[in-house]
Amino acid sequence: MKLHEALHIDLNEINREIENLVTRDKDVPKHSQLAQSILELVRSGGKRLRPLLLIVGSRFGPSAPGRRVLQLAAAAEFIHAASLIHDDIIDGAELRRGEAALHMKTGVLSAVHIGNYMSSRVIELLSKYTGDKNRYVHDLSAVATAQLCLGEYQQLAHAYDYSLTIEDYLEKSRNKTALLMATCLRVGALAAESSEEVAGILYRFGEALGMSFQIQDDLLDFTQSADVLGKPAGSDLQHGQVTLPVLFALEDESIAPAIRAIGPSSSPEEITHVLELISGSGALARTEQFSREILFEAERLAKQLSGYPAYSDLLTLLEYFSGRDR
Amino acid sequence: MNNQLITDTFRLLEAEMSPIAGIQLHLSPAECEPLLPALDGNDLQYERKVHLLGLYIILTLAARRHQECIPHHPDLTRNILDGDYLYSLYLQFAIKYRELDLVAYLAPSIKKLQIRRSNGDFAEHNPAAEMSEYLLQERRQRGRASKAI
Repeated sequence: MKLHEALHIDLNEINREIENLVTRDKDVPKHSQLAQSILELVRSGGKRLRPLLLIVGSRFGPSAPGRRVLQLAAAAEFIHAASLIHDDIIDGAELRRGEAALHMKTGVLSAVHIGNYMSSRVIELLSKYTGDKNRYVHDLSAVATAQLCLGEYQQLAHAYDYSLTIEDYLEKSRNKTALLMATCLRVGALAAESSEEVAGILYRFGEALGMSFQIQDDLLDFTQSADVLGKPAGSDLQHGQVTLPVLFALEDESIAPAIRAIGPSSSPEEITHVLELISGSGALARTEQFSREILFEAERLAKQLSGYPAYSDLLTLLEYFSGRDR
Repeated sequence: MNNQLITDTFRLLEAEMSPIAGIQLHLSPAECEPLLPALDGNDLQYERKVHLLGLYIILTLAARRHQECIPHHPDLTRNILDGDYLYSLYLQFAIKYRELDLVAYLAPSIKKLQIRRSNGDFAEHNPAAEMSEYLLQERRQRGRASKAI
């Protein structure tokens, strides 16, 4: 069963709302390159994790989830999609979900501004939520987006940096991935008028889920084929991303020199060789265990909300993020 | 030219920016000038002038960084990230200093700027004119409110 089905969320409704963000914008001509490329991107797939998290968050408040929650959920996906457009340019990725990345179709400069359009469209929509009690909605486009950038800066600064610590890696992952997911749960809860305490627990739960998600994503670089990934296996290693499996493998003195030798000009054969060394080192199992421990912490946080009917949704999310139902 | 105001604004912006971003803010005093008449002519407190000029500088620099995103250029990544970070800082700064009404006022024109630029139209954009209109409108509303009292 897919995640949205297990959560009893109508994905079509979310997708319609996401598409409405561009199709109902009177400033965007229907057949413009901007409209078409955004629609192609959002229709190319994606699990809609962030909207789903936001909707789950909204089930912890006394108010029934209405149009506002749906609109915030769509905004969260728009922010995520905008960041993917810019990420693909930064990473030099030619493909996204098996199709040409947006910048390959429109050119870099145009793609940068299409991503900007998506962010500014969200700000335009969220601007109508005024007053102190609505300030939380801006966490999506202000705080979470800033943290996302900081995660990217950290990744850039530490490319091929084999002296990176686990704490540095975790902070980068928190900024790059976890905080937007955490913010989605919190914003959903506050939109449904939950207490700050409940929203805070959901935020920490979402942060743990996001950390685990990023670690699992980093593992895929070692465990999945190029066909499944939509990019060459070992791509992170090639681009100098020192992820948790690499950090654990570096503790093995017998393979550390080979890992440290990987640089911007390493050949595909060298990358493949080091991938095999890391895969055979036990680093992947340690990474899996690390991810599981983070999910135990998420489970502990979830239990604090066991009195809510939506507690079962948190268990569903835990099940999904643990990879047992992916 | 109000050099003290410009100096104080840059000092505040540097304090607000994360050191992780490591952005060097370069905007000449002459480029800050378009907003100064509106700041001086609307009976604003000094602190608010600093905040408004800060928002103007952030917006101008964010748009400029993204305009410089040239394929295969060595600074491409840096320019994308700097622009992204500055746009999010714009919002954070506005929230912190309670200028969300200004954000709402400027939002449609900033969005239209991105649409134009995605279409290859890089005509000069100066947020000073709209910020001035906003301040004028705000002043009129204040005047009407005080008359009503």
